Amino acid sequence: MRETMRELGLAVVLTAFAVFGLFASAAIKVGVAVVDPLGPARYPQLLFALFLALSLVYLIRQIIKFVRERRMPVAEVAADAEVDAEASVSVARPIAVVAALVGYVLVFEIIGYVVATTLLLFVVHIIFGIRKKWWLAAIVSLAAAVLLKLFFGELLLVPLPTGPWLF
Amino acid sequence: MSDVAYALSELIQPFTLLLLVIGAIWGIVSSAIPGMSTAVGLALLLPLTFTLTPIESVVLLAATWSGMEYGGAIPAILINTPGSPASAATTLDGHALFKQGQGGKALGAALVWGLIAQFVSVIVCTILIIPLSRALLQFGPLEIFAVAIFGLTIVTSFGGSGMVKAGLSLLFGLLVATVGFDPFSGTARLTFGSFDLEEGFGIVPVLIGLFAIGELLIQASRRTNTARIDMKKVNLSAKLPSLKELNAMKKTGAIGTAIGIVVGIMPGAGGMAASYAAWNEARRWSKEPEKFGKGSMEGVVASESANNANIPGSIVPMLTFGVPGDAAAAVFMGALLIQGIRPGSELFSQNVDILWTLLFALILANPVILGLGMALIKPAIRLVSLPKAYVQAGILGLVVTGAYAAGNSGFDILIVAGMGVVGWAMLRFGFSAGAATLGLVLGELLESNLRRALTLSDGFGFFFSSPIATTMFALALLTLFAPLLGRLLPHNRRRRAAERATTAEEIIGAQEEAMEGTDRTVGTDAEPKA
Repeated sequence: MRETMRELGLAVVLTAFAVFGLFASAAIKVGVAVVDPLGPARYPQLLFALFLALSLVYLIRQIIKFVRERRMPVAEVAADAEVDAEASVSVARPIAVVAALVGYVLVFEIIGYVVATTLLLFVVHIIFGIRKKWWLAAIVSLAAAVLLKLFFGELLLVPLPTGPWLF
Repeated sequence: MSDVAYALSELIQPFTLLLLVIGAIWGIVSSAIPGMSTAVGLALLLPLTFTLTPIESVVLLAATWSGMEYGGAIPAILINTPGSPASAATTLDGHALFKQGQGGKALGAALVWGLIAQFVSVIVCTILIIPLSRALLQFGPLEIFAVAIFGLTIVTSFGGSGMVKAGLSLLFGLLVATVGFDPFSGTARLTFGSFDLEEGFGIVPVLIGLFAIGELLIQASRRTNTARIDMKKVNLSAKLPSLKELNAMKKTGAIGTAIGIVVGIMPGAGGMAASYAAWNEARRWSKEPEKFGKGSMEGVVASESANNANIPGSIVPMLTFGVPGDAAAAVFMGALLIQGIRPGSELFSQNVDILWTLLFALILANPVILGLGMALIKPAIRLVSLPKAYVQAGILGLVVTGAYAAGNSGFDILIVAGMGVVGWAMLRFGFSAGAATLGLVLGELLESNLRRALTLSDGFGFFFSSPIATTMFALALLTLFAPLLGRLLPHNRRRRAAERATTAEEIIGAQEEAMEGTDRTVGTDAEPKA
């Protein structure tokens, strides 16, 4: 049941995305120097229209499934809930990883690649459940950041941001 | 002929050979990590290919791809956990053999038959590619557009995730490809005023986001942390099969190879479909079908020869028509596009050396893998037994640095994160990241050929002016609507209703098994070698 509700939510998001896309692609400026009959806007519009059609099919299917499950006898709902409990997993941890990545982008040009990467990797260790051996995670994070810096920065000559302390 | 000689001379450069070895090692070891599918393993290397020449990157990726098909068999046989989906069929018999003390022999058979199958497959595919490439020269924009459409429809019906979900994934990929300057008119499309988006989404951040971060977020959401493995219990090395044993398996090997090639050439199916189909077919032809699933060497040989033969097979439609056979081939095609190499007639007229290098690398990778395959069994298993946190943090470090290196901008890391969320949702709800990749790499080809064809046209009838294109459109329609028509037949409806009762239970069982397969706490059922 909960899984069906999640998919229902996803179907709504996809439909909204398609509608938004149709408006966005309608706003594409078609210049005067259009060399082909289709122009720049028609193709994305066609794709968004197809996307909308398919997401509506998906939405309708999920609604039917949802209604059907609501009518299910109580015993089956309970059994279903068990399956749901197994399928349900931490959502907080993936969100924390994404937040850590966004934070990384915000600071890594200020505090430098090595420091920022060490922090990012350490945080990810913690998110993945390292607690007692946090000191080991810290050492591994620093070592990995330095190795990556040497490999990409020195060997492949990628200009990585240095921050105020030149590394 | 000079192209062949040139490709060979490039391949035997010391640095290129070093890349071949590095690729093979990375392939074998990385594919042991649960959730590291071939597409993820290849996608992680994309940032590195920026610093390499086209030939070098093709060699690195070909060796990695070959290594991953063998490497996936190591955890499949030793700890009943397929390293990559393509090795899932290997667990059926491989782990049973290990429990019977035949693990070393099973590994040896996987190694040798994978090698033979891939060699035969490269030869067959080379023979196929040459006439196809000649026919390709006759293709204009309309024909290329029609082939691309056909390729896309096959994917939606093969994806294993249902037509609606595969179709949505594909359209997402196609839409991502439209962002940025329109190549025909120079108009900025769907950039929402962002300068960073004017060049469009880079292939590297999108692919590593979808595959690597998507998988990492899935791993983060699962609560199990470690696969504890008692290293003493997996203390064994591969035993290569004797000539007599090879001879006894030749029928099975041939079945696996043939199915691997055919399934590889069909767009959308991939290594897992190939190895399961081969396992099934080998059982039907076997003298001892009852042993399958309980420790049949034939089962291992069928599965492993099929997933190796699948690689060159899936390269055929990718190189000729620009329609990759599966997610791994789509990532490989992304790597070619990064280097400015466009599969199709352009490849055969301007970059034939790349084609030959790729085919040679797929052959040459095998002796390297044979040599390393035995030595790397232990390190690969050790990597599986590390706490997940260390492995995933390492992957994340590689991903963010690689994404930054590819574009020199923090914005690319944000794309990686965003696409990671999309990839996570796709995995979580059974959409197809492979289909999205196909859309991404085919998008520009599809649109530009459609618009070029329309510029030449004088009306709607133009679409049916070419027999090749008309055939392709007809096939595309057939692929799209055949399943729907089949469903409407009264005979099939009854059968489906009867099946539904059992399949719901089966599906849940299979899902649980798959969850367990990637994340179970192993060791308890790993028994010592006899």
